[in-house]
Amino acid sequence: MRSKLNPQWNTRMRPFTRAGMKRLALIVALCCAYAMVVWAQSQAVDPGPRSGPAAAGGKIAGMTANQSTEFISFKSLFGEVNDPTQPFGLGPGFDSISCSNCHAFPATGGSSPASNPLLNVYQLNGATNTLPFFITSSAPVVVARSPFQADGVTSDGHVNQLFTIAGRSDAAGCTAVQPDFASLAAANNLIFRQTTPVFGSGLMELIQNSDIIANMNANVTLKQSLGISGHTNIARDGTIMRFGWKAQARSLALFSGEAYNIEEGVTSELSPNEINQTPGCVINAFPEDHTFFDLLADNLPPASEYPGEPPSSLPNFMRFLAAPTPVKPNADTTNGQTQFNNIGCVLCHTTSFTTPATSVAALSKITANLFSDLLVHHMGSCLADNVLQGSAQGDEFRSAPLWGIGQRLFFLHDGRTSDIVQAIEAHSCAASGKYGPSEANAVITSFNALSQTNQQAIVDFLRSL
Amino acid sequence: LFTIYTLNGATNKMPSFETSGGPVLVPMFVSDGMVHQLFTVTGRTDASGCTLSQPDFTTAAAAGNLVFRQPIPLFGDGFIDIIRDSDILANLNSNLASKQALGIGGRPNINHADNLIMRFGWKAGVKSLLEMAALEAQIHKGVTNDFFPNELDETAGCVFNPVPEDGNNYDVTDRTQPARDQFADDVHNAANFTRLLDQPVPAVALGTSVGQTQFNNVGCVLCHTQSFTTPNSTTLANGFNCRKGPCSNPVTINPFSDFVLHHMGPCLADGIVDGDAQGDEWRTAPLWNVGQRGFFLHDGRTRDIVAAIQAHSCAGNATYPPSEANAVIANFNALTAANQQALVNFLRKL
Repeated sequence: MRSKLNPQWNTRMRPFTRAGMKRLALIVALCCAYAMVVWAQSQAVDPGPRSGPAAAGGKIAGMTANQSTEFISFKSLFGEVNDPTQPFGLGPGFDSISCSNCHAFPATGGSSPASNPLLNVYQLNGATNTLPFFITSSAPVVVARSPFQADGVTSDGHVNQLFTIAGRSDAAGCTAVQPDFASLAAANNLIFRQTTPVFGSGLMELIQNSDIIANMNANVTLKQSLGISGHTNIARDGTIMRFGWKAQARSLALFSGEAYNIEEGVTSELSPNEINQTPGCVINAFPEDHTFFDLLADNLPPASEYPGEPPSSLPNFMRFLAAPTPVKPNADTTNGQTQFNNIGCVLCHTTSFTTPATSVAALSKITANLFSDLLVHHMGSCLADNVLQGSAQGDEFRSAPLWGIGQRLFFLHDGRTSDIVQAIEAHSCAASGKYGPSEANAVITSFNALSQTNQQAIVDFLRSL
Repeated sequence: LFTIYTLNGATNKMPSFETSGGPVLVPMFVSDGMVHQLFTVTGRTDASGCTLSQPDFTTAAAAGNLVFRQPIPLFGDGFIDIIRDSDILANLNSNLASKQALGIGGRPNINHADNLIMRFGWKAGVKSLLEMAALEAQIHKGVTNDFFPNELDETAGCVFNPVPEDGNNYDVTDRTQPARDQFADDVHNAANFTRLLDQPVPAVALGTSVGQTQFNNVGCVLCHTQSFTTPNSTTLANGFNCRKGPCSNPVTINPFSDFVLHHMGPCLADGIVDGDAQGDEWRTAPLWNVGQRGFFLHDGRTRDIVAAIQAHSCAGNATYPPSEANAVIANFNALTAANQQALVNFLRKL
């Protein structure tokens, strides 16, 4: 608590003026209020991830019979375990061996499971990888990015693949080496991003730009009074990007093409070249994942392989993955949502958007309760990771969609906490160094000023999502 | 464009920079780095109720905010798609002494998510044929797709289709030839057309002409690298796939480009930043088939290939350094008339 109290205290200390006595009284009052807040916030307790069956992972309602049939093959490719010698070959560099390996909890398509799956992956089939220091059994799955180029100054942000296929019995002759994570960390050039859940992302993908803009421009006076702004991250075509921790990906198709190569080393028509091109490690022809022009000649089973080619299959799986289902409200969680709205969480964690008329009927005109404005906001130096993506700056992050958060195990971009109360508090950060204050500061101050009951109600509401 | 801008009753005005004898030009605004579409569907009999107006290009031009890009030929792009990054870097790092002596640098345009080299477009800002096909469908035709699913302009009354307009046809159940082609979206089909489009065939045996010798000697070849060899590809030249390896089919291509960016000075600079590419940086334009090309340079400013060569030379100013090609162009100008002509003739035989 002290580390939080001091900066807050400092921001309230101002040079005494003619109104000195009056201001002093105000400071004393605020100080007392703050002491109560500290007491109060310590009383809100995260009940932990909601138990019971997964409230996510199923297919969206209203799919055609063919789509429902295809969903099964789309899902099987999302769960396919890759190895270096199969057509969709793992590596040379990789983070894990399948999509579902990390998109795992509370169901396929989700985020990091409780027990880190990478421990079962890194030495599979004789691979000689060592475990990076930040991968532990109880830690979330993360990817490792370097904010800077080798000079330590020029912005970069690329992902350093955690592992290589060197040593695997099915990758004889490969001698690729892992990045030196200890040195990157010592040079302050290593940051982490955890797995984002993809439930409901078929709806997010189609939300109209004009609706995102209209929501951004709603309640502007109130937002300004709380220090909240936020802006869009624009794609090359001029529309709004919305996937990823910094809203750096426009669509499921573009996201999956990049992710397939980065996370598993599978090249595709979207990302045709190997990231790790160590001689002796590149086993397959390029791109590994591609249109099957000679489907009949190959005599492949159509249902699983065409358009079972992953560039279509992986986005199609995500496209049809239903949004998480919240639990039925009770008095406590209903009050929690009221408090959530009243103190201003909802100003960025926008309750819902409605999709426009879409060519896939199951996704058309659906209200998506994602609890995000899909904008990026300054969150201050405490959360900043110094990675620039599109127009998102080093301290800017997309308002993380909160749907399904009731069954999420790790919070914030780097999964730094499993305690949702700490995740709330981590939204608060004073200006420091090159970054201004977090846009959430006033809202978190309001949260801390709530009664214990109301704080708990918000937490319970979140865990009901 | 003159046959389409008022098609079906559209009320578009032709922007002054599009001329019947000139190249097709795509306008971009420096202020936002974006393409601004030339026309709208307003007035068309099949778009009743839409009242979208065209961008104000006149005002943008007066403010110095308007720049142009002409279409890039796509022949051989399937090969460019899969040239290894390591080969591009090895070529960049070859002949360093010669390059440095002539003031030639160059750097790849890197995608900073995965560290891969982008290679398509005037500033090499696009990584793959597939992404390019998706982007162009959206930007140039307003066709939303699985990659760019929302309309650029959602003005009420002008959005006629559900989005995305181009996507998988899930209800095609017969996956046999040719019905299976109907399952794929048009973006994949367009990309695959480009993928299978062969490289251009020169009208001269490469490596034999006086002109090419001059081209090499004066240093053109230091950026306009003659050839790369693709790695094993899953797409075979016969349009079938290599899946049940090993099937070795590396192809040597002659694109005459190093696929990296070079500073070309303020004379060619357009002020558009694209990935790592700054306002004065351009990808070395592949020269294959330049012999049958009508317009040169990114904005098609000349039809004269000699003028295009000379436009590579430019002194620096307060904003941009001098062109990296200056010493090479000085070498060109120092050649005899016969050798200059031989070089030009060589280019026109590509």
